[in-house]
Amino acid sequence: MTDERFTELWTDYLEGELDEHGLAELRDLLEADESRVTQAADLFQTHRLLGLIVEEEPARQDEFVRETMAKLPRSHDEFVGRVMSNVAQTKTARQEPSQQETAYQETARDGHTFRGRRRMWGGMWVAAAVLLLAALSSVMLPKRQREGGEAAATRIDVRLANSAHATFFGELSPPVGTVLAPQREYVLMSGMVEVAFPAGASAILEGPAVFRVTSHESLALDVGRCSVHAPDGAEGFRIDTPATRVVDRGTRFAVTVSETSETEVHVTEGAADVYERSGPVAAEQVAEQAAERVAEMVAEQPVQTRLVRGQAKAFVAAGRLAAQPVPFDSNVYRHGLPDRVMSYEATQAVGGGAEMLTSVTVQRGGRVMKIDVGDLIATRLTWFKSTEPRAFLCGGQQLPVPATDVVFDHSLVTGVINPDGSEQPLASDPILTGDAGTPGFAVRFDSPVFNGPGADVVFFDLQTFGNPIDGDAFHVSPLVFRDGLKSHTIRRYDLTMQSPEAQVLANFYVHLFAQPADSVAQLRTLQAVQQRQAMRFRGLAVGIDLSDLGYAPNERVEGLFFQDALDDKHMVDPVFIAGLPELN
Amino acid sequence: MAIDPPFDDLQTESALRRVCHGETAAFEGVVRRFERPLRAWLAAHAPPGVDVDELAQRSFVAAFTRLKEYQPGTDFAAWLFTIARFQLRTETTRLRRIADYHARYGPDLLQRELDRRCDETPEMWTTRLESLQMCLDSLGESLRQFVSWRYDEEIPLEEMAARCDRSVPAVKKQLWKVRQKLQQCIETRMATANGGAAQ
Repeated sequence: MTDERFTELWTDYLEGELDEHGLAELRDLLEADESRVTQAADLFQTHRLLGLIVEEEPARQDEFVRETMAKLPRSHDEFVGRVMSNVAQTKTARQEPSQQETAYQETARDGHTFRGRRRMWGGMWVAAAVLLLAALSSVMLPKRQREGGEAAATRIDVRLANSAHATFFGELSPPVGTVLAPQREYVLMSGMVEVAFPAGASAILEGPAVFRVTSHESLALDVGRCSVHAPDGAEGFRIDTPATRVVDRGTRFAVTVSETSETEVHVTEGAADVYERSGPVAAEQVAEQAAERVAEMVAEQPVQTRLVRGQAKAFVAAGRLAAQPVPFDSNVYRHGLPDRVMSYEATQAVGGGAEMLTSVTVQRGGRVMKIDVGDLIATRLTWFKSTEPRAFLCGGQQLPVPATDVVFDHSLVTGVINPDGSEQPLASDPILTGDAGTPGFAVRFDSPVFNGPGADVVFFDLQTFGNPIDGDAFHVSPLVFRDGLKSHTIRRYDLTMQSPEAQVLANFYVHLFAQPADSVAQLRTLQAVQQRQAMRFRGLAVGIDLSDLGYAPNERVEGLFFQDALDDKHMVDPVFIAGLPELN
Repeated sequence: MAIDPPFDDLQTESALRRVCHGETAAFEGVVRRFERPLRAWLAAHAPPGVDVDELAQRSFVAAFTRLKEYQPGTDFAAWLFTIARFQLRTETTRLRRIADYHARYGPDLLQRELDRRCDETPEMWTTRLESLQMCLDSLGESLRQFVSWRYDEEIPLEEMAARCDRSVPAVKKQLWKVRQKLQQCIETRMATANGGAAQ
């Protein structure tokens, strides 16, 4: 009977279902017989390993590696790492038992809390004030408010509506559509995000910025820039800065908060009222406010200033809030996020991972459109030259004959990889024949691509964590130069290793060539050895705007030339290149 | 593109040299090589309430930041696991200092037993993990179903009971049985492996 009871209690314990009395009883049973301790520890360890085994999907391992790499301090932001590691430790140390109990329930049940855990990684350089504020407010936010925020998360449906090149400090960028947690500090290091509020208001934040969602119709901006659009029905939407409260009166306006809390407001449409918030804004007091952040506790003053279209003022809180007119700049207000490749869809391979591209979603000229892969303009490889032996092709273990026919098919794991390049981009026509041929590769579109607004060509690249996070840099050049045309270098992709939209790809083989290939014909005929890739790769993507190469609007383009930028030891690995259809 | 086969000791040393010369990205291969044994070791020895992945990541970060202290050509795995042991000890000490930790998290006897086992080699835990995988594969369909529900789908006991048309206490018994069976299977495999190695 005693052993049966032990069985029952220990199972309850591992299931996280043991109450206080059960725990006391279990403790007694363990103390009474040492062999039970050994048995309990054995089963606990087996239970933990089972939790680990089911987590051992490649994608989860990738995520672990990705997060670990992101946490490594970089020399130039060592300070950042130190500050945030202190924050993390202090937060852990300050955890209340009830929070730890939650952690126990997760760890006791699963052995891991990897999923859903707040991620932290070293970010890029940002103003020390941004970091300090973020750090202090993370530490000092009272538990009551954290809990309130979590509880309120179910009630406030404020979402991340859009994201462009966004990198967040201490965590990966949330996927588009994520509900943002109220009162939670978001530190946008670079790039932009658009936050959508239920009544229709939207705010575009530009990094570096520190912000919080404070209610279903308000946002706190501690540092950075934010462009607000509040359409009919969303009047009254407000932005709280350390020194001011800016209340929408049916407008478009931009708010910029400096590291010293100076707030600049530019009204592009309609009107906005600016109120003073209590207290001076010395750094310590800003931190104190962060700790005592309760909107109702902030004493509102009578309207300080009403700004209407075309007006701009800077508000400085030196004792009393002082407003100074500043020149209105319509460019301060951001109407939308930049044109870019936003996401893509692909079929899943049998063994997991994205394989065949089915559609690409892009923003072109401010319009978001999902384009079926069948509507994209296919490309063909017309020139290839390398000067060193490498892996030049990737795809299945066996490639069809001729192999080059599939390099830019719809598969995201077939391509012509590691092409040669040049540090200096081309300034004249590439040579596409003979021994003097230009290193790199050329493609021709099946039908001409017309230069429209935004991206005209999409370019997909294979990338893993040992490679540059922003993508492999490359030059893209006209096949035929004329006055006004130039090469363009892409150093940062629209979808990078940090983008939730960049998908983990299916497994593939690389085909290693023992000698350089200096023509497409050689790519087809030279012997190659297949090697299966052990690491998981992601599909990064970037849009190429033909205007960046100097093409005139609506000018037709028949093909392009590509070269690795030779800026590091990593080579670009294109797996899909296609033209976008003409915009109606 | 990196076209790297799985890391061996030489490649690890080479990667560590590159990291020391400022090539942070080279540390990825090191993380990939050791994440599995490190997480397995930590999972088996960390008491309840400890986030194993957080601790594993902290160990890697500590190894990275203190890499200059590592003597090239010696045993990096041993060095890394010493760091992990230290991290685990720090964490368990912190937990012990929480007044009602044991009242909330579980028997201190369990923690003591886990502490006692900390000297077991990391390699042993990699082998144990592999043994568990094989034991799992050899488990009968009905018992494997419980593992899948519990650890993969993570469904509550009540739902498991509904799915197999049994009572919740019966499901608990099945889970006990599964864990015990797997435990015995691992022990048998480990004993066989040790016997084989000794011959």
